[in-house]
Amino acid sequence: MTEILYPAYRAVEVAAGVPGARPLRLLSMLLPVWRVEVATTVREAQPYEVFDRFLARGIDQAGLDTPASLALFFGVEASLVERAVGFLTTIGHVARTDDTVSLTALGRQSVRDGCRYVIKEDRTILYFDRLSGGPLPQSHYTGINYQPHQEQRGFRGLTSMGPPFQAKALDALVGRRDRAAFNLPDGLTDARLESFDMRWIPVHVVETRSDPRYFVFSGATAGRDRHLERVCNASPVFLDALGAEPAPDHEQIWRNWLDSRGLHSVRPEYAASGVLRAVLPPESFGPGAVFRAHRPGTFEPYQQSFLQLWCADERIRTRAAAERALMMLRSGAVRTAQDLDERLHHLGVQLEVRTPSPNQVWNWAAERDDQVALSALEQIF
Amino acid sequence: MTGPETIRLARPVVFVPGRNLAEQMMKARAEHAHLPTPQAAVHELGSLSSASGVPVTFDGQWQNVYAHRCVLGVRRSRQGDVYYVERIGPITLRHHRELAAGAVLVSAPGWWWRDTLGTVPAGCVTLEPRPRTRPRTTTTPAPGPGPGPAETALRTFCAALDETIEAARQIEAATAGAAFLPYLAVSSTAATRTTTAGVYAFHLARPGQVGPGAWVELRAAPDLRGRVVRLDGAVLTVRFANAVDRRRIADQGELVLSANTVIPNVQSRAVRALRDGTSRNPALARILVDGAFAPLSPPDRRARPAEDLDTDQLEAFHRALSAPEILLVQGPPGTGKTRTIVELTRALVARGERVLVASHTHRAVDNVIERLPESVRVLRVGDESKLSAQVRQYTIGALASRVQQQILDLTVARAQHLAPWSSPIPAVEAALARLTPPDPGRLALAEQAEQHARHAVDVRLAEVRRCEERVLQATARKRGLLGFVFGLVADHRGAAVNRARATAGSATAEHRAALDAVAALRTELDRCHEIAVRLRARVASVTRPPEVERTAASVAAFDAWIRRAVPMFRARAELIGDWRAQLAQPSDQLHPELVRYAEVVGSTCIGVGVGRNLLADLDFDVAIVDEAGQIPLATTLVPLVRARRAVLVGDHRQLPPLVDDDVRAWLRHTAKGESGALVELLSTSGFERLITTAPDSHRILLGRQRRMPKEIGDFVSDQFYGGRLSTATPRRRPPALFDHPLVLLNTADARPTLRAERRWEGNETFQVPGYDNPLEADLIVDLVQHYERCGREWAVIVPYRAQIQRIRTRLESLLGDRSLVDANLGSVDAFQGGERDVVVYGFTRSNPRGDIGFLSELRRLNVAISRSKEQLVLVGDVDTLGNARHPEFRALFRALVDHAGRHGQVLRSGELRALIAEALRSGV
Repeated sequence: MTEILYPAYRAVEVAAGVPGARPLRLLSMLLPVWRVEVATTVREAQPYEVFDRFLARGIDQAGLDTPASLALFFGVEASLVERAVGFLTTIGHVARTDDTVSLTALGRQSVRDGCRYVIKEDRTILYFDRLSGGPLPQSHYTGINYQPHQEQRGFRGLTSMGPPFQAKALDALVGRRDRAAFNLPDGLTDARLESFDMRWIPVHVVETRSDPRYFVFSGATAGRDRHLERVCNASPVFLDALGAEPAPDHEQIWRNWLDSRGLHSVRPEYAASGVLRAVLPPESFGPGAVFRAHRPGTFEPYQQSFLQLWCADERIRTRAAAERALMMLRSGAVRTAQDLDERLHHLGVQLEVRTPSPNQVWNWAAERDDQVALSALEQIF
Repeated sequence: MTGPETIRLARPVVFVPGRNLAEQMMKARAEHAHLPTPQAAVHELGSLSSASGVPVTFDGQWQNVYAHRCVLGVRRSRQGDVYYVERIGPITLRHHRELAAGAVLVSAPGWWWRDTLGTVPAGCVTLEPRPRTRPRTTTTPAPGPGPGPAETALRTFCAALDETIEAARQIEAATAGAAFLPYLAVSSTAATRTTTAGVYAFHLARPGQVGPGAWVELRAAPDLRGRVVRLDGAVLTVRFANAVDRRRIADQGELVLSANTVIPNVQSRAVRALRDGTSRNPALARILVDGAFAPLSPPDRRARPAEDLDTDQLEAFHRALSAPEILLVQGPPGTGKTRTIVELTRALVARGERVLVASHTHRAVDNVIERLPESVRVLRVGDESKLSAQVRQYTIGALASRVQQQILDLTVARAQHLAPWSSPIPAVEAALARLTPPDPGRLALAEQAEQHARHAVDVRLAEVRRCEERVLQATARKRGLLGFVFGLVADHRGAAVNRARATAGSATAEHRAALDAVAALRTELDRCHEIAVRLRARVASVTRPPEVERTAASVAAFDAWIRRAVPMFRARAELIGDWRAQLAQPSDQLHPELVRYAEVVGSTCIGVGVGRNLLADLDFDVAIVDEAGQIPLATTLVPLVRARRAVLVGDHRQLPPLVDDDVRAWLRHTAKGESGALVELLSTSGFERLITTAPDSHRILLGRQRRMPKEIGDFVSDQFYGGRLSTATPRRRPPALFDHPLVLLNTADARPTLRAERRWEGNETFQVPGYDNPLEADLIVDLVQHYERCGREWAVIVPYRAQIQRIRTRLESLLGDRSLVDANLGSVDAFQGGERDVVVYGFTRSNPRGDIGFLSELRRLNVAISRSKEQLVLVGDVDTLGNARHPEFRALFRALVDHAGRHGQVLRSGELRALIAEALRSGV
């Protein structure tokens, strides 16, 4: 089954990395949006062809106002002029009264600009979130896996039984000077509502003790989704629903979880950063152990809660930094040296080890004969 | 979208506090400070109700009623007339799931809070309990609605068509093998060029198995693709599909015979249009898949064809003009299909409709195009080398060149006349500066003033005369008794005369001044009139100027006109200059518009969908498809999906697209086994499929043939058209060798070894064995020589390649004219649609087993025997054919022998030589 959003632990990692954020719990949710089909008018500039350009000029500039006078002036067969005038009439460039022809405003504008403007109807889909009624920015038109239903395993849906989509929301968008930022370019005019239905955006929501209270992660952006974050933290529906959720008993949840893995002696404890940690012995990580070598410092989400796996041994954490750095390179996600530097810095902070240098990463890749990572490094540098 | 169920209650809904509400509310509001009081929440329900309805979910005896930011947990009273509010709380995620799973939206005329039951008015209502609203546990999206039955049928139909396209492609490919043609040099050619498409000669390293018409491409640059137009020894001339950069053609390299992917691609696009619902004729899918035809409106019989049509043709003409979707016209041989199509096309064009004339072959399209009047704007698309000479003038290249040249010719004089006006002309500018015509109102006022002044002078002079008269009267009476008194009076009156004279004098001066003013204005008018006349003469070469008279109004009007006209002449001069400069560029620039503005487009069906023909964006009002009985459905679709309605003209009693035998041979060859559906789709035309399902109103038979002599026509009518084909040909005397138009030359009189067929393994397509028959070939050659001597148009039709080859070799050496033989000798397929004075048909098969092979397709025989205008000579072994194992053929042949015996001539083969010798002797 295709995942509808990236794993929740990545959201927790980002939230935990925000200074002073102190993540409290995690919910994966579906936020309601309106999917609105809009008809708009597009004025497309096409290159003029030969007859249409000269006939239009003849009408506009040379006082030729009948098909017969046009045919005579240009030396073109009357039937061909009739067809061409018919075409210009069809595309709205020429108005015809009995035998007299004149240019419309569109026709005059076309002659003036030297291109054939053609009015076309365009259909496009716009998204408006249901919580605020506002349009979603262009960033939310890619990367988001909009769901047609409110039920998805592991996700909790918000619904809204309010009134149907209001056309005035579209009018308000049309009137905005920055409407292009909301996927309605200025070239699309005369927007008319055609139809609408509901969709849901899958998001991870991390509750924190900071402001804003809820961090929102969607597929629209690499990190936090600041737009949806603003919408959610200002939405009574959202705040009421999450505010009414009973707080999980984090310690009990994780005690049970650790017990189920045979780690009876380990007790979850709060780190200075405020996150709950399970400090595990070095032999818990590595080949054949309970957890793989890269897991120290990573988060385990479970039942609205999350736990950071930890090891007091810095060598184990450094090894984890090496494994994760190489994994990042192998995934192809790192493209530039600056990006690599930032990620390595983040790893150092998260694992509380000295920030690995790129040279160190080269050495790690060479030691493990990791040709893919080496090749990625060669491409970056 | 499908929304939640909506319930409209006719009476108000009332809420009263439940037993534990107060305590529960205190707890809840302590945890969730935003919670409203129950009274406020119920008040909110009123506005929700009128906006979108109040959401309600069910949980056994409990119902959850949702306000904006809280949910009320309520129970119905025992009487069902009031809700007890037992709890209030925030809307949690669980509630959101319940809402999504199955809420109802309730509206009611009132939503009221009452503190006690006693204050509840009578007649209030609540909702009946429902099964618990359970969040769905499914985690996969519910599948969307599947395609309806009609859509499923369409998809199945289109999938079958796709399969036939692929099968037909394979059949086509099986008849041609891929081959490389190495070449040693490339040279330019002096080929006729009407477009920018390149033509080059390739000097092959060895003669290749390729002939004119084949498509080849450069192995090193497969996008450079063209058609072989000539093979002269080892020099292959190729006309490329587009303009070619010569530098991309290596001086040495290889050509590759192209697999023809154009046809399947074009067909597939048409099928896709049908499947996707983008066909211009929206009824097409319904008609083809369901066989459901919309009723035909009564034809408008007022429309008249330009040329006379017979009753059936006229009926087809009228019905076709008013057919809203499709009409099927069956045209047996010689019944005037082309004539009917031409008249229909003319009438449609006269109504302003754009017509597509399409067919299987270029020849059939050309037959129509050639007969259209010149006033119709015709465009003919297709490979120029395959078009008749007469219609090449309508190809886009020729059309554009002609239009361009015509325009340049027609505008040369206008351009010359306007040229001086392209910049200011000093003399004209000066004249315009001096052209200051008097205001017509001012001149009128001056003239009026002059009249008034003149009148004042007249009045004053009259006064002077009256005063002088009175002085004279007084003076005359001075001599009387009261002379003294009259003397005083006379003196007094004399003073009055002086005063009157003074007044008259000043009036006269004023009049003179008025006269001067008028004269001055007139002088100005004259001057301006003269200028206007000169200007008028000057502009007469570029326009028809208004007349100018010597009046202020006329000169002023001219002044106004000329001041508008001169800048316009400048604009026109510039415009005509630009126009002619534009037209001096290559005529390719006109192609898209000339295509768009064509009234009739003629093309093969496949050509309609070929990109280089520029028809991609063109819609048609009507598609007229000729030879439709021979065209596979997938090909027929190509024009049909491009036109709003269609008229199919054809005859499913003549050759179908692929004869069953061909398809079965291919199926055997490809080890696909028998596939009834595939055979049916491959060997049945779209026309046959439609005409067998269409109601009578949508199909018409042209029932009067004018080609064959009655003796032949009647047989064809009886055997293939249920006796509904009549003959309207005047009886003509047959060519002198035989006494009748229908002759059967029976070879059964010859010894079996002499008359027997000979088998040639793998000689036909798909390695099917072929046959020749030396005796029949000799007889046919003798007959042809005779008809050639008589100057008759002749055709020889035989079913097998080996027999064709045998006869060709003989005839070429005897007649010495290869092209004559090529044009008049072939299999049936080559002659459908054609006609000749005399047709000689050789059955070829002669064996004791009654095997007849290809002859079992009876429609071949129909086509073969219905080509002749004067005489049909059938050559065959009556013993074999009359005892054929194929029952339908056997019956048909026996009927033919019987018919020839009664209405024609049945001769022994041995008699032919004597007849020819006698004809020679008698000088025939």
